[in-house]
Amino acid sequence: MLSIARITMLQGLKDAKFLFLSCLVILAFVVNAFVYSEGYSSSHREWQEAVQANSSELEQKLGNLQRFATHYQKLVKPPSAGAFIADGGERELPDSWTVSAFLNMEPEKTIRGNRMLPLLGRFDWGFIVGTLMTLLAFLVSFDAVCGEKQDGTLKHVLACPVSRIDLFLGKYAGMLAILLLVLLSGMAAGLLLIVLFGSIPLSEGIVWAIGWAFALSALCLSLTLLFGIFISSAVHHPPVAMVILLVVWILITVAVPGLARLLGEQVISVKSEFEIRRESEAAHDEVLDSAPEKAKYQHNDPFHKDNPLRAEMWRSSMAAVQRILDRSNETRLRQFEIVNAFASISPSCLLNSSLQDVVATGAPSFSALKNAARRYQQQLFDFTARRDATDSETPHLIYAHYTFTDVGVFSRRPVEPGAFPRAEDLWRSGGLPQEQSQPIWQLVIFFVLNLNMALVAFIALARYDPR
Amino acid sequence: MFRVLLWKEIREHLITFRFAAALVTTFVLVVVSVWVLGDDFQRRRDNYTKISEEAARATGEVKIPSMLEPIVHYPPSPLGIFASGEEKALGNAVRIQRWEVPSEATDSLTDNPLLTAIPSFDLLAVFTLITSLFGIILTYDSITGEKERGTLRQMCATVAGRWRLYAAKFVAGVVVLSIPTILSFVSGLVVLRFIHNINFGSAQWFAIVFMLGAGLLFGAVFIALGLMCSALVNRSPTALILSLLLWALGVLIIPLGAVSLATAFHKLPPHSEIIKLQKVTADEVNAEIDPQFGKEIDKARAAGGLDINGALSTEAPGIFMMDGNPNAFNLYRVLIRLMERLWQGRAERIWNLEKEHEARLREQRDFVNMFSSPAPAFYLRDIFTSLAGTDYSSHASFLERARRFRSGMLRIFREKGYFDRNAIEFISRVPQEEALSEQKFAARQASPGYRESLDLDSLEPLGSDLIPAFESSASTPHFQDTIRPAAVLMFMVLLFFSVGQVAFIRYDVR
Repeated sequence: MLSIARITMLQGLKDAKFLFLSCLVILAFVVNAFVYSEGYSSSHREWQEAVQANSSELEQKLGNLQRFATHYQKLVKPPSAGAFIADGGERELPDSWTVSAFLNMEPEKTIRGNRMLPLLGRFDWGFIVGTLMTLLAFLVSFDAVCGEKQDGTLKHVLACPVSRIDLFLGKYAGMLAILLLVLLSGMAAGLLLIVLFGSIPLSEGIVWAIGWAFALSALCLSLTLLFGIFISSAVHHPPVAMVILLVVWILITVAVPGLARLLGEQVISVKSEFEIRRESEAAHDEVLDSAPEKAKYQHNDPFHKDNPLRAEMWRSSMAAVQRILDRSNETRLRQFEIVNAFASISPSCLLNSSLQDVVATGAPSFSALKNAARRYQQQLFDFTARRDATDSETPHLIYAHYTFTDVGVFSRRPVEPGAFPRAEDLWRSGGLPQEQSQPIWQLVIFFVLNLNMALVAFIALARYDPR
Repeated sequence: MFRVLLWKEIREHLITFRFAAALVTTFVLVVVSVWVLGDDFQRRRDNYTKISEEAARATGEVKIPSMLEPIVHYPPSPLGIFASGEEKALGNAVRIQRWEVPSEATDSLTDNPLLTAIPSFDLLAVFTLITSLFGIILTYDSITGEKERGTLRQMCATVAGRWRLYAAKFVAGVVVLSIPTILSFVSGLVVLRFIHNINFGSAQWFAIVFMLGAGLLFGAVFIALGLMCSALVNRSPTALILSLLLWALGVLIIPLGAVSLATAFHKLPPHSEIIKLQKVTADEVNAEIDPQFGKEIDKARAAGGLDINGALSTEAPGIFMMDGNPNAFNLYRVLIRLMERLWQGRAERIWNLEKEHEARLREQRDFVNMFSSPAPAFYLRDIFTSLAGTDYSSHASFLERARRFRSGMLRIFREKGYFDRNAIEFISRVPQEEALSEQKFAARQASPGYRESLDLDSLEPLGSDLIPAFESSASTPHFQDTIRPAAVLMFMVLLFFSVGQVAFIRYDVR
């Protein structure tokens, strides 16, 4: 078996086409490192500026707790340092959220690149491995068995005292070894450049993510390789094997994500912004209609006896609006996740989505932003309540209607700079949001798929009749 | 002779497994994508109708001219079903404000902004990836295969001539590839017409024919490429790998890498710099307004009877006033005169900054275009999006129309003297001479039921006659923009064809 593996490996390595394609893949890793180092440093700078702009605006509101609490802040998510592994659509996804102590509104896009550039996709490790290297795996394996069938060498090999399982494992191991060699050298070249550029912080989280990326990529490549061997064993002519593999390749890399999006949009319907606005207005009107008449009048005296009713009315109106906004954001996220789940029938998409889990980009990044917005709103509200509790001159009725408050119903004392919760403290310093997770399940799925595919490929080889 | 050769080649292609694969794959993908994107288009169109009707209603219900801030919309393009382009990323609604020149649009039709992160799988994507791939798969072994089987020698020995042989192979490839292309496209159109009931105008039908033509031309590029590789090398697997490599470069790697590389090479100053500058100019304007306005307030105070207590804010763009004493009215008139001049001037200055920024964005885009110029996929995308009206220039022309609409609105306001002599009419419904007369004010105050702040709801709306409506026409296909990319694609066909032809002529049968 080892000698077969060695022969396969040597044959593959000395093949000019293979060398050429491998160079292309390694070059892709180098370009990736270059592009994402530059991109990270510029978007990180933009993030810092956005944070700065937000806090300088906030500082103008510090003179009065009421103005501070009703001020709409922009909570901006820092760019993910792991985007070079899995970009997850950082350029297109919303990256900020408008938050006050009373409401967290809608996601929006703050850090933007050039809107004139076409939205084509990305050049991350997920693309290099999931698209370019799977093609390489198919190119390596398409004539592994049927090429020998055609040349007639397979008959001779089978006539030797070599069992078919040895033959199968030897070929598989040899081809996997050269693919992993390319993967490792590409990753090493890319990482070397990233270290040299020095703009992406290689924190512990990123190092772990790189480890995960290698493991998942290796499993994904092994799966495509096994599929290649299966097709190569099942058919008799290399061109037929190649055509089948190319069609499969185009389906798994391009068609499946697109079709999954189309399907996801059919399965879960999302309300348009127009409908959401209408719904919030209706909910707001409903609360106001059912509120007692006494609550509707504004009084100059914050201690007026009707003010608790008024507080109740505005609180429930804001809560109703918040529920509608939360639900719509929840549905959007669910639709996005369902699209990703549909797409995961393709190994290259499964690889991409698990890499996104590792570095917390894509859907995990959005849910991190959503949770951060909720958490920050709570922090602001708690802070306002705490500050107000120390002020004996107010009725302690903390409420607002969007940015409007009744004067004096809660404290109007100045806020000390440095005492209030800051949005940027919500993000960990390493550049990765806290939602980073370990894709154990995806690893298991890849492993099981590999075992199944190995079995199928071996059966296809074992069924070959040399006559 | 040529006809015989052509017919033989076509027949040989038609019975292959690859042709069947091409037919089935293209058909299924096109029909599914057109079906679902047609559905998506209908949803967006419904959203558009609702939103634009609501915006028109809101504009019609405005009570005070200074509160007039119409929202204009860009309708979704029906041809966007075939090429979504940048349509969903660029937005489609603009609020027309006096103190801001619109430089960007917001999106109100896309239901889920998260899905913009997934490239949509439209007809353009099918043509770009699938048709081109099958172009290569069909032809990579048409010469090497015959070399290997030894039939090429015999063919070269006939009177057919190498030129005819090669041309027959090329034409046969184009004809065979056009079968799945045309068939799937027509089925897509049938789906749109009979299931979604989407009708196209005559210009759009022309655009559809152009799209189909561009798709076939694009397919021909890859047929010529596959044949060229087949003529250049001796073994089919080598030809396949060479042509696949070129395919991957021309369809995937160059267009993708061009965007990434251009953004890394040609850096942009971040947009936050502009926002910072905007803040600086705002502060400058405020610094200019505040002392002048302070002087006016002092003057009014000296004239007596003014209780204004800072209720006037220089930050509120929609200031309006229902009723008040003549002194306050007069003060407002001064305020409008000051503010409108300064804030509209500020809007112009910021717009100049935005224009500079846009010029830099355009430079970066030119870089991308330069990097992607070797890729045929780039030209196909260019043709499709400019026909569908989903490219950046269609969006830019919408923004330009929105800006013209804004300046038209401001011209009307100026002609009516809203920013100087008739400023009171601009912010209040009280007639000017009445507003400025002490006696009339006293009489109004004495009348029964007088309230200082009138109920806005009780006023009659201004109606829609004040400013003309916005022409929200959908974009027309830009046929002239397709000439250059189509010519380049044609040139690529010729280039690959001639290189292949020369290589084939140089083939030595011994």
